[in-house]
Amino acid sequence: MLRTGYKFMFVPLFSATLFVLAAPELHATTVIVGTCKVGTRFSKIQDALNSTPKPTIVEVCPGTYPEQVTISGTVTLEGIVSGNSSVATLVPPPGGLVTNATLLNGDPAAVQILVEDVSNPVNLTNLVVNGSDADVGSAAVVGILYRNTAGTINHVVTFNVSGGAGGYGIYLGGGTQNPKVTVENSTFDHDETGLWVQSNSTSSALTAIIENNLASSCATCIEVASGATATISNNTINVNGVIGIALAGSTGTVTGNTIVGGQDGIEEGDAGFTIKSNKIYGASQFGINLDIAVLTADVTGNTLSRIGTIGIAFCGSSGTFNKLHSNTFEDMNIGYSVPFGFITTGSTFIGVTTDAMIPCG
Amino acid sequence: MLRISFKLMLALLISAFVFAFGVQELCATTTYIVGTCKTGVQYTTIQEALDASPLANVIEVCPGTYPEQLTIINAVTLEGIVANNSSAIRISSPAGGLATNATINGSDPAAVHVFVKNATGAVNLTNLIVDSTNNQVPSDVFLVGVLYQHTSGTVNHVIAVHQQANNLGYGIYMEGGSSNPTVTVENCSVHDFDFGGIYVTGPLGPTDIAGGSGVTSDVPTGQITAKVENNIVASLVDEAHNMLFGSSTLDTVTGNLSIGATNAPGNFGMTVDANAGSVISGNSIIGTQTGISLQDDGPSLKTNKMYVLSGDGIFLNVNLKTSQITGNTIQDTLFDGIDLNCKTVGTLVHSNTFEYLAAGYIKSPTGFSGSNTYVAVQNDFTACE
Repeated sequence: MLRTGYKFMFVPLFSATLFVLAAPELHATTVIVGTCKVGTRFSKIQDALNSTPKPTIVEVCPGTYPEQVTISGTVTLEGIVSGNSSVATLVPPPGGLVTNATLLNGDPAAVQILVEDVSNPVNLTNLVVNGSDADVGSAAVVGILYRNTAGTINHVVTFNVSGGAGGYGIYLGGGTQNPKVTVENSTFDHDETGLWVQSNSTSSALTAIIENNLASSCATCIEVASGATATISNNTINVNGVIGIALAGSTGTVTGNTIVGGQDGIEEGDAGFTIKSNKIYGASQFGINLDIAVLTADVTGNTLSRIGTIGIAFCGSSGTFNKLHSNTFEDMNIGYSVPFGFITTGSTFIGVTTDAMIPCG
Repeated sequence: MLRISFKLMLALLISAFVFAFGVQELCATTTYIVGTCKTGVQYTTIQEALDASPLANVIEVCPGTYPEQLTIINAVTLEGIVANNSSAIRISSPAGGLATNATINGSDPAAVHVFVKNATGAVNLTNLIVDSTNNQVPSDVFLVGVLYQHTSGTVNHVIAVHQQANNLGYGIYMEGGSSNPTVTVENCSVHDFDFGGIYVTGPLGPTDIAGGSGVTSDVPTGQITAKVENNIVASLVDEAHNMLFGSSTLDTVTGNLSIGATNAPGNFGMTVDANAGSVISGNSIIGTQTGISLQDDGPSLKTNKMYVLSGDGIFLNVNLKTSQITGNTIQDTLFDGIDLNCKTVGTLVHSNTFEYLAAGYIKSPTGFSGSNTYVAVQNDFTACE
């Protein structure tokens, strides 16, 4: 009986093992763009994406690809290392970028990688998008647009994405699928806006995880507008522009970021972000500008150094003072700008020349 | 019998209390105030408070400007205090400038703004601005904002600025010696210097590195033990070394932010010539020319991040036997990630990440390999030619 039972159990186990081993083989379709690797090859990324059967993985050889790409099915699009190079770069086509999308505010946009309304995740890895500072007239220029689609953007570089009507390295738009998108380990360099996050919903219709990225030389480096939940952590931002992180109309956390230079380090308006343990250095105007009526989340544990005008400005409701505490101000003229009655609980002032705090107005 | 025991115990208890309070009285803290913001024994200058008898354990300095050149030779805590909504305790140059009062790097004359000299106990500095504007230091004399020479202690929340003197200005300089002092530099801000930001080195200066007097003798190891954490250092000019860890030092260096000058990016984020066992980890370097220059075998470079540099992320100037270079990220740099400089590295260099660079490793020795991450790198590595 025992021997029979053992055999009986072994058969389904063996079958299950076969199924598990065979399943990836049955479902993974990998195609190659370029000639650096054997397999089903295409010369253009878009041709690979459009091929049948639909690829689940598109591997892109090092090279330059003058394309605007639209992704309409779940896929992993990844640049691969070949020989001694790891640069797969999308550049504008010879005829220039054309308008192919609409942003959430209704503006037309010319997008280099467009990911829209895909029901399953789309992942981008190890790719470079060179906007070439292309100007598309009245349309904005976008390096990568995810709209109503989940996925991960990892180790991607966008640079020189700007235009007469605005430029965005990466634009994440929410939607009815309430997607979750992660942007990590990526670089935004000389983009007008490095990363933009927004949905058109009054409640959150997008979850964005933004971590371990570098944004450099941007007018606004990271901006979260309305209708999203965002976690912004451990990014390094070398502003050389206006604002490091701009927050409006959404909720989430901003923690452990390092922001250098620019006009304002972090600016929050009509939002509910916990702003904690960030290091902000050398902003010419405000370290953190809380242009908000009521603080609903803590602003605490931040270190602000060499800020030009005011370390942290908050002139909203005195009933929410307790959310603002335990920050460190170093080497500046004014620490807090706050209404009467504020108490600098737990805060540290080092070399604050004029006032630890001044009243608003 | 019981009553006698009780009385004996009571007597012992009382004696113990008397002894305890007596000891406390003997070790009582002597605190002086500089300025008038707080009651107590008050002085108008910091040096007067330092020289007063009995010697102070703690000197609290009111917000204000103190045009002084200080010498500290005894254990003390010198701290700026917050009063009247201000926390700016600025030690400025005296009207006549800073006098030459020290020798650094073995033989270089120096004008030191706050000189902590051969103190037998710990000297702690907290919440002070050392502003060496108008220092009037002669052209052949070095300038130092804060110098610890052969003294232990902690420099915490100190701002050293405007140490500019013909490209011979240092912000904070910790020099060891035979007493093997233990020092900590933490939460400080150093900027607008024209040669060195934070230096930690043996008594003969950085022997293998620019900035010393060129002495190349065999210096005994372990002449200073240093912890350097969570500081911000921003350079002003080309050729400056934001942070330098010189010969005969043993360092834990972590959480620091080293920033290059916008219009003069030809400087070094960190220059490392420390002892074996030192670990330089978790630091961020932005916008300098070279991120970290490793001058001697021994210290390890781990999990540091270097961004937007105009030169190499890490430059190797020595064959490696023990130093490890792992887990570092070099991102968005015009040039190269790690210049191995044709040195022998064995398997000690690996697991580094290169993103958006012209090259990952350059001048790689024959047979070099290692598991690394390359993202948008034009040439992952080039060989030694």
